Amino acid sequence: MYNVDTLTVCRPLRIPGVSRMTITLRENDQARVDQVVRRWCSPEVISVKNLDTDHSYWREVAIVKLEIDASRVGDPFMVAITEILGTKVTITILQVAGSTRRIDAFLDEVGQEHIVEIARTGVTAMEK
Amino acid sequence: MNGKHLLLKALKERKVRFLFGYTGGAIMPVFDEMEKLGNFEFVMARHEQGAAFMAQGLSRASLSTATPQIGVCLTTSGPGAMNLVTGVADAHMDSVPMLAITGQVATGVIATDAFQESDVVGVMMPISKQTYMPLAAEDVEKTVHEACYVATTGRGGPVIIDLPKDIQNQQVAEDYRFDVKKFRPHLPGYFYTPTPEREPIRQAIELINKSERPLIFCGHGVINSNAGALLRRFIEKTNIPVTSTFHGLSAIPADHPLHLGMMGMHGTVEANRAIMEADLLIALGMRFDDRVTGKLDEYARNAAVIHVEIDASEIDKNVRTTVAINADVYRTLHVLMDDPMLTSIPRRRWWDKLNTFREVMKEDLHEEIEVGVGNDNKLLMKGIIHRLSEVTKGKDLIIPDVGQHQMMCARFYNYQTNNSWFGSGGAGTMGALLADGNWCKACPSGKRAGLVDQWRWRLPDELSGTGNHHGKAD
Repeated sequence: MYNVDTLTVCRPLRIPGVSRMTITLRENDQARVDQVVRRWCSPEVISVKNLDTDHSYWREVAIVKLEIDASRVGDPFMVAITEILGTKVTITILQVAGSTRRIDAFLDEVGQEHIVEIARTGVTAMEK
Repeated sequence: MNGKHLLLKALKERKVRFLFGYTGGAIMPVFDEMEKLGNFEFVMARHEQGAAFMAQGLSRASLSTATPQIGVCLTTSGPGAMNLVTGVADAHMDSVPMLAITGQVATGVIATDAFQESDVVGVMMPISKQTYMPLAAEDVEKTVHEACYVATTGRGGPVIIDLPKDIQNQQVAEDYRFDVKKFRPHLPGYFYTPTPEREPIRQAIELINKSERPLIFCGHGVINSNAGALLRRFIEKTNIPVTSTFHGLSAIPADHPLHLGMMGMHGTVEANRAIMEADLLIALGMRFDDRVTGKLDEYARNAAVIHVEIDASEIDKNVRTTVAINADVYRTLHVLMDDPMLTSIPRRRWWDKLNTFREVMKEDLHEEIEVGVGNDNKLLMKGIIHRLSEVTKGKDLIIPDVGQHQMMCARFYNYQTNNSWFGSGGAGTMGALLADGNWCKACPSGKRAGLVDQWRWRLPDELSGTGNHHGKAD
């Protein structure tokens, strides 16, 4: 059994009926991953590539609604990695983009107690 | 020309003669067109599930003939299509090529919960090899040819065409042209590799030559690639014992001196002990199902595994492979046989051991079969099957239903004819027998024996009616 962790879909070449999907799994056993990838090779799949974090770029975007002190939004760390989309009284909506690790680091830094809502795309990736 | 005409034209080009199914509103245009053309034999099942098994029976029986056919079933939308689900899932589990054509509500009302509407593509996707819904009459002919190609190549399986009613009646554009002779399916990601690569063959031969206790697994892939006779030559050349999976039975004669019988939960003592003692398993066209392996972490601990399998997704799924050969069984055996490096070794100690395994239950079974009745004075199933085997000389096509009697047929019938054993294996569908069996017209011996547990006679009532009506039951 396996479980899909994230899934993103786009139409990369504007060809009708063709989509590119990036699917991530949490699995440590490489043989198991290879077997799951082989399972996805159905007649309607054009090709499947196995991308690992060392040999490919992984990116995602998160939009985060925070209930946070305005001074913290001006923190150099926050300024460096986020873009403010809007503010309303004590609520700030930020965008953070980059690697999964970067987004996770940002969320850890902010602290769960300040997060009101998150929308997160999941990973889209390309081999180097 | 319209969609319904092109559908039937394409089926005719694919040499389809029989259509199994049940009529209904959303498929009515196709039936009307069939009446006009008059060149199909339509068999009306008493229930759509029966139609799916009839289609399977035709596909399976014709597999080992010079003219393999694809079984086709035809039903209406909604309940008609949903009644096919068990038969389609069964074909998927047992790798049987089949084409199911279902009527669908008109495109304008799809996804509005229209009368007799069901999401056939959504329901069938995980239990079929591929699903199609042509959305223009121009796509219908191409879709039928592509569907038949997908169903019958690589690992066989069921393919669904869900055809909306308005597309059935839609006229094609005036400039529409389709040349079946020039048609090649455009499926860039669909590849199967019938011919094995050199390196894994070299590694496999090295393992075989080095092995002291090898064992061959004869799976469904041996039957599906018509490799029974070749496997027999291979085992006789190499002197390696062979055990069969449920679906591999009948590929080589059951009483062949190198055959240890069926493996797994319902298998023979000698086959199962051999697996536990073997140092090399050579698995041909099989999927290491849980009824074969039992506890995976204790299964064949001492053995390296060579897995020959046309479906790459089966490799490393349940059992870790030492050498994977992603190819057709027939072609792989051919390459192995022709390789001068492959040696024949007597392996006397291994055979002495196997012969002691064979003695474990031999006398008890022999006595039970000879007496034929149990302690309660009732006939024993194994005795009945053994007697049936003697009467038919093991040559007839055996089609069991599902359950205890099925396992007795697997164990105690002395199969002598290639591809003479059809059972619902993976899905274990009770009631499959009569529908399946009635339409095995192309069976090698021309005679069929269907067996069913006593209490299950009630189950296939709705299916048996079709056979009796058409006078096909032997």
